[in-house]
Amino acid sequence: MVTEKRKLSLPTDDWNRKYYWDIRKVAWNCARCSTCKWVDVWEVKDARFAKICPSSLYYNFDAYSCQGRMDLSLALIDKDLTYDDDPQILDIMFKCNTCGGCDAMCKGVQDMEPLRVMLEMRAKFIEDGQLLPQFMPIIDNLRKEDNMMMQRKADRGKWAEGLDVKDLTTQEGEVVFHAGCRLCFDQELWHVARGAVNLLKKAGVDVGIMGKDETCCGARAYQMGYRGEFTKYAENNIEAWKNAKVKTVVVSCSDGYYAMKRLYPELGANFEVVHIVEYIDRLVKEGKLKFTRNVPMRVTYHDPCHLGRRLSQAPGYYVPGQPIMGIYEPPRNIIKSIPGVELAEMYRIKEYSWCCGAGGGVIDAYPDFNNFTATERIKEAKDTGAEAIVTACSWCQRSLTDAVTSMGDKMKVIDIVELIEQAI
Amino acid sequence: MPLGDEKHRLIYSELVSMLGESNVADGPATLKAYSRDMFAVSVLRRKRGPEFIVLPGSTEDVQRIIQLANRYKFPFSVISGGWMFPLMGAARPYWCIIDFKRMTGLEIDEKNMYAIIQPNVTHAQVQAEAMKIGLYNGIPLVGAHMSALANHAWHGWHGTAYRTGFSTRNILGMEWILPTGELLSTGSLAAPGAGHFWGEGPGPDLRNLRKGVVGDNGSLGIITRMAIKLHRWPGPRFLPTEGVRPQKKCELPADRFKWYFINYPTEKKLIDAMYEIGKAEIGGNMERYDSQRLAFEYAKSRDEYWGLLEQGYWQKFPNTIALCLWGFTSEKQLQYEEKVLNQIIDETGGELWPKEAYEKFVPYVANTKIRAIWGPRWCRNGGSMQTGWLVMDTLDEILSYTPTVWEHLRKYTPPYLEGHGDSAWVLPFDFCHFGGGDNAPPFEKKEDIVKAVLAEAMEQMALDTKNGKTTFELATAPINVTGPSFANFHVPMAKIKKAFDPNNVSNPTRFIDMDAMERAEKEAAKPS
Repeated sequence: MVTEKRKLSLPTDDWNRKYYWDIRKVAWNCARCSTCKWVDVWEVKDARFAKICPSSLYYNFDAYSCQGRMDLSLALIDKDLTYDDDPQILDIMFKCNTCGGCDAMCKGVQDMEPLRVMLEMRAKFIEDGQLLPQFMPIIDNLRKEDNMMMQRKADRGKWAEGLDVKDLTTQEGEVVFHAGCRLCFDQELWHVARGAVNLLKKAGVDVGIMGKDETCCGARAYQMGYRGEFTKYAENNIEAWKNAKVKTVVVSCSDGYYAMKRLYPELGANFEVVHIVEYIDRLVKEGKLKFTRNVPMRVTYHDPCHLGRRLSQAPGYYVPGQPIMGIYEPPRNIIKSIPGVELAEMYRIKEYSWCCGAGGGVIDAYPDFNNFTATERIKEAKDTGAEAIVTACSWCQRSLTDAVTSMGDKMKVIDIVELIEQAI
Repeated sequence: MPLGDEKHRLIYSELVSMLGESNVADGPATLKAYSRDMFAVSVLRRKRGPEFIVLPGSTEDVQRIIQLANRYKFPFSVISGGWMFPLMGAARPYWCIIDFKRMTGLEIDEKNMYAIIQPNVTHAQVQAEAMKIGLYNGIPLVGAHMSALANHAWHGWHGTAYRTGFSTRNILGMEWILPTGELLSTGSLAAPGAGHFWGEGPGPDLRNLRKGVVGDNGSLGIITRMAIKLHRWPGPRFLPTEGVRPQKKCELPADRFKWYFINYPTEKKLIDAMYEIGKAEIGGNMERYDSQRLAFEYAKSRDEYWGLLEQGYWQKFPNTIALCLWGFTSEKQLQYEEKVLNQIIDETGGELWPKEAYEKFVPYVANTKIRAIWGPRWCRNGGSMQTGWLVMDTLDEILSYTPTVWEHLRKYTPPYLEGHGDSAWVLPFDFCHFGGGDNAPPFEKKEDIVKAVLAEAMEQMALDTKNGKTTFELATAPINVTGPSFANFHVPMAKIKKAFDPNNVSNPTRFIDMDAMERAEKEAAKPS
């Protein structure tokens, strides 16, 4: 018996050394340690705001946490469960903002990328015809009208009407501002897109837009599992930018930024992708933008997930042991350099940021969950004593604004571009 | 998988009428999330799951669930963080897991220095609120993201237990739902209006009935509220960290905290020094590191861990005492303790780590450990599966277990660990009056390996038990198996279990398996 046992020897694969990606391996190796549910313990600053996973806080059952989704994924991969075994399967997989909080926590402890498992599983669900009914009209509209907002393609350029900006569908230009679906069709937020363009122009940037011919970036479709749609729109954008001789793409939506920065290169894109906060931070440092007006305001800053920790979660970008990097400092540099503005940080910031609730299709499919998540963030923001929550993503702004409205609160939700405009 | 029979449907509908549909689940996709954890037992038995998950919101909800369990004779167990799940896992039909996610009450009595907690409050949450007012609740080995209540009731090995005492000593008044559904208040809570401030009584101290070394796994009912002692925290409101994970740096106030890393030529000398430090009653937390543990706590990835061992850097310090002096009352206390410690180091032949090693380890590892020993990271090296041989004994005795344990472990660990990893981590409790030890090497999480390791663990444990050693492997045998080697202590415990839980519904297979015991008794009574 003992001799038999001694025959076992390690390593039997590279489990103990170099990282490699394998969907089943990650699901199987989930330790159920629950690190994915909470902010790093040494960073828990308040009992009320200690969780990192909105889904596990809202739905309570462990099935609605990253750990539960690893169990579900493994069961489906190993055929312990089939799609027909439980009508809850789709909900369990899709009631997730794909904010990557779990992923950032798990990486630091277990060298694993669980969000990638979830995104791959979503894609497999779609491939297998397991479609979430709430997504269907949105994807249908995307296919017909090239946007995720259930709007007409013909109206896409309206946000820029009267704006003196180069049209890159007819001219060439090195810098394109990609407004994204939310800013193009959410009339209440048009001023953010217009403000961004104006700031760039004021700093002497030769910026152009695609106007009504701009199309969806495909990021949200990717999060929902619709890889075909993502690829189609990514390729379309890449082609359009190449035709216009674009070198730099500027975006003010974090979803779009993530997709262009992390996913487009897989499809051959070779542009410099810059978020508006990075660009403005750069312009301020170069002295091309100066904040001259006092803005007496106590604000807090909300880190959008896709501008933050998600940047370390993409095929080929994860290196175990490396920091969960994101665009954390540029927005803070900008806010701190505006005269009169006082930055009061929330408990959960940077890689520990609490999601706004919009991601992963949740804003469309599960409005109650979306609202809960955003409301939690507003409550946390209010704890700082700030009068405004500043963000750098149009989806976050919409989600947080709606939460404030539903709470009957008066907290201002503003894009960083709006704050900058007040200072210039 | 749910049986879906009439009894199942009946229980389900009763639970739903009691708690509401959104707080009861019996769907297979939800149940899958309650089928396993990292330990060997559940890796091998992950296909066995519960039939119901329920989310009570109050003590009264828990009482009603338990009363229902007694009426319909279905087993139940509890879960909070889920770390020790095999001890609570479903083993029989109609098994119901009570998940405490909705029970998150936390109150702090600043003046009397205790916190009153419900089961789903983590150590980190208690710490966060306590630290704001200069109080503190210890460094849990398991990770501070686990239930503080469950941790006190079960394992409760704290880095600070050296000074603040083993977790049993930190339990005050408890609200305990017996396996029959009755509410029992313990300690001062039993006296109307007295509050939670005292732990003992009425009558015999019931804390140790629940707690012992590693608790009763919920087989004597459920604690729905517990008061735990808080201790003085001389540090800042928030732990001062900088950087982005996993490359976090933390500097503690130098006038109140000072780490010492002292290496000894032999384990014997190390333990002797620990005793001297304990006798002097200095320091806030202390542990013994071996080189393997230094490497994996320092490493930020699995690859870095093996690389470090290959480089041999941490092997220069195979017998290290890590001691943090805390100036609880003042800077002067810290200065005094430093003088005492330096004298002990001289007398015991210890050698301080070189500055380079100290500066590598303290700001990046040791200081953040002030809030958690961070158990989950131990899973990383073995592909997430870890099993350990735990020992609780005097400090000298802990090390006497090490050679035999490693004889078994070596077969499953990569060869380059040999010669410099064969030792134990030691955590002293109560100023070194006793302590805990652990050997936690990495294993690959593959079924054949897990099976073999578990079999070896059982073999080892049986041997230890026979030799009267108090070793235990996490999540293994109930006491009807181990009791015969320890003066048949399972016999009185069985009587207690029967008195408390006449229907044997409260986690019936763990702590003590009454059915197996009765079968054995019947077997023994048969004429030969």
